[in-house]
Amino acid sequence: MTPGWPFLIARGRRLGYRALLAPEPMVADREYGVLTDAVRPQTARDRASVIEVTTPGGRAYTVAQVTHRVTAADAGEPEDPLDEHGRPLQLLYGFACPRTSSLEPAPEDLDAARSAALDAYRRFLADEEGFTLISGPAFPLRSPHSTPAAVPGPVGPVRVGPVPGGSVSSGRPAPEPAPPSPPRPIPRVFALLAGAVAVLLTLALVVRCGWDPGPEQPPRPECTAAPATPATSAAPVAPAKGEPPGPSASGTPCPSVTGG
Amino acid sequence: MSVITLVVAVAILGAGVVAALVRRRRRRRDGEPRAPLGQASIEANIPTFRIVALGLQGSGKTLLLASMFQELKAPTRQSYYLSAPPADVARLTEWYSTMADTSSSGSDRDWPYGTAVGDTRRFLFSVRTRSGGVVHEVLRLDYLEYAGELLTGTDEDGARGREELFAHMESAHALLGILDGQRIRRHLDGHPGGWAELDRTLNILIPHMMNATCPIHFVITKWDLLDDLDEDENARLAIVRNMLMSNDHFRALVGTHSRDRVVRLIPVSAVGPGFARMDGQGHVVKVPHAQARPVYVDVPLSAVVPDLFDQAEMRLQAEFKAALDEETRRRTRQSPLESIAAATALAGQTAGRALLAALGQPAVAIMGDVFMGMYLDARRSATGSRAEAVGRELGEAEERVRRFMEARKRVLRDMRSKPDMLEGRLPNSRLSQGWPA
Ligand SMILES: Nc1nc2c(ncn2[C@@H]2O[C@H](COP(=O)(O)OP(=O)(O)OP(=O)(O)O)[C@@H](O)[C@H]2O)c(=O)[nH]1
Ligand SMILES: [Mg+2]
Repeated sequence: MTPGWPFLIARGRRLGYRALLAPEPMVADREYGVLTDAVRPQTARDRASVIEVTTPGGRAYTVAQVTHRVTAADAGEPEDPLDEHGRPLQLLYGFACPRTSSLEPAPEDLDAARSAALDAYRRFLADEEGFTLISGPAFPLRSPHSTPAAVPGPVGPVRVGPVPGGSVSSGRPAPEPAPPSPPRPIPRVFALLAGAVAVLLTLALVVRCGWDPGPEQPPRPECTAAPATPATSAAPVAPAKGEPPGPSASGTPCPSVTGG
Repeated sequence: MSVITLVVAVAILGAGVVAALVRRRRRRRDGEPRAPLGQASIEANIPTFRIVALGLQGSGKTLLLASMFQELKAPTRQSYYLSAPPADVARLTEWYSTMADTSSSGSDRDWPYGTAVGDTRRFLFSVRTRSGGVVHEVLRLDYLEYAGELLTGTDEDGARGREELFAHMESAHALLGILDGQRIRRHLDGHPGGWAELDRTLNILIPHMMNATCPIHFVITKWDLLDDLDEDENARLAIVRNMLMSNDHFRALVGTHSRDRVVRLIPVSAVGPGFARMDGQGHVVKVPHAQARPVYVDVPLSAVVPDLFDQAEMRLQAEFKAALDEETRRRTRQSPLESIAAATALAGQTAGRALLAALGQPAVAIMGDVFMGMYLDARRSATGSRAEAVGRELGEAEERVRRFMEARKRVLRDMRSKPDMLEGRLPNSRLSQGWPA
């Protein structure tokens, strides 16, 4: 059974955006902030989209998220609730599961997440300051998905990067590492020159050792050079150890006052 | 096969190599399109200024940004305009339209949602102007849009967004302290807790701004909500100014920063007068069928950019000279300039500069030595089609650079005029004199 855990990120009338309900393992590890940072409101309301997050501790999750405007019915109030500045409120809810390479959020799972989220939100609205984060218990995932890598645990080498909130990638498929840039093409002129030099050297060798291995002229016994084997195909040359595979793209330029 | 045959083969190969070299050289010389001389140096010389508006949740950051873009997206009241990537234009326009919509009832009369922590994003604006059918990009602005709670939060939530915000603040070229006009209003109305709210804002902003070495200004948002404080707008601003200056920390902050430069207090309204009012619950609600007419939203940027430019100008000029020299030097390796590549030996000639200045070449101050040497040589030396082509290319480059410099100057002049006009109208918008104590 693959577990799924509900989550909810929302702001209240006074208090700003925060996780109100978070997956149990994230709460246990105090890593739920990765969701607050990663889950963005979607322009298409009430439609699920899927993102991937990795916590600072290296746990990898796939996350199904929905953006929903809070209605009067949701809040159990006569009118749509607003924040203290008069703005409408929205819920960013959904569920997380151990990283899978494919996930199609099923309505049953989204409904389960939504009712857990609404329950948490009503309690939050009733007492914003007194509210404490709810740890979302696991439910059996019904959404079609590929087999996850067991219980979410640190995947591969633990991230030690500078980003405290873990990492996020959105959409599918997960971005693959950029292929190494192709080696710089050797200018044609140099290739030709190198070819000419090679031919000249071969010729010098042949002239010195004698050539024309016809039956009427046997090879000279004093020549010690190994017979030349004609190369028919060139194997790709791997870069020497420690050598970069080729020119790599430079990083995103940090905007600076010095222009550029 | 005889040795002679081999020698012939090698000779043919050698001829092939020579032919390839010649062809390559000719290709370079003739057909390949290349950017006009000077263009690359101009593009490398466009500065980017990072600006951070420091404000708590609900203080009006998002609507100010949307309204500012709305005001500056076309050259209506100034020679320049803001340009942004299409996705950002769509987002800003959506915020503005939601804000400005008062036509219908119910949820259509909503304000845009508060910015979520995960929605932290950088807007990269390009400040442009048109002249003689050419669009000149003169500078860029890097503006962070974030959720106000990132400034105050300390726990797990938003750790990454907070780190991004603080990194942005530390490397900012200018900080704008956002003071919520609605909170000021509540305090002036004697609302219980009104002062506490305002005091909290100042307590959060002041330490960040105290540490800053970059220019700072203050922006009072929701200025329309203070309309009825006094009929006279400058007197209204005086009330707010006096209230702020009565806070010791605020006064100390202004005092510290005004040793080096002017500190301004800029009132803005993203919606304009009569568009919204405060209801019984303290919510700001739209007035049905009112029209948004933003006020002073273009001033905050205009107040910071010319100062930033003045600070960076010397460095930008030196960098431009170096870039243009490098570009010219690179170009000398290609025809038609290569025939007079030796002219670069004339680099640095003061006499030549004086001559050009006397000829009335306005770009003389910013042209690099290599460029100048070639320019002079082309004017002085041989006749014939190649020399003429060289002269023409250099002349065009000089003209291109001159136009760009003029465009930039015009934009900065226009920007400077905005805070000046505000000050003419509202002398109280100047918090400090800005001269050394
Ligand atoms: N009357 C009036 N109200 C304004 C103005 N600007 C903002 N408001 C009100 O203030 C509310 C908050 O403005 P936002 O721009 O969303 O505030 P913010 O600083 O981006 O807030 P966060 O995203 O929560 O950090 C709006 O929904 C309006 O109700 C203004 O110029 N005039
Ligand atoms: Mg906002």
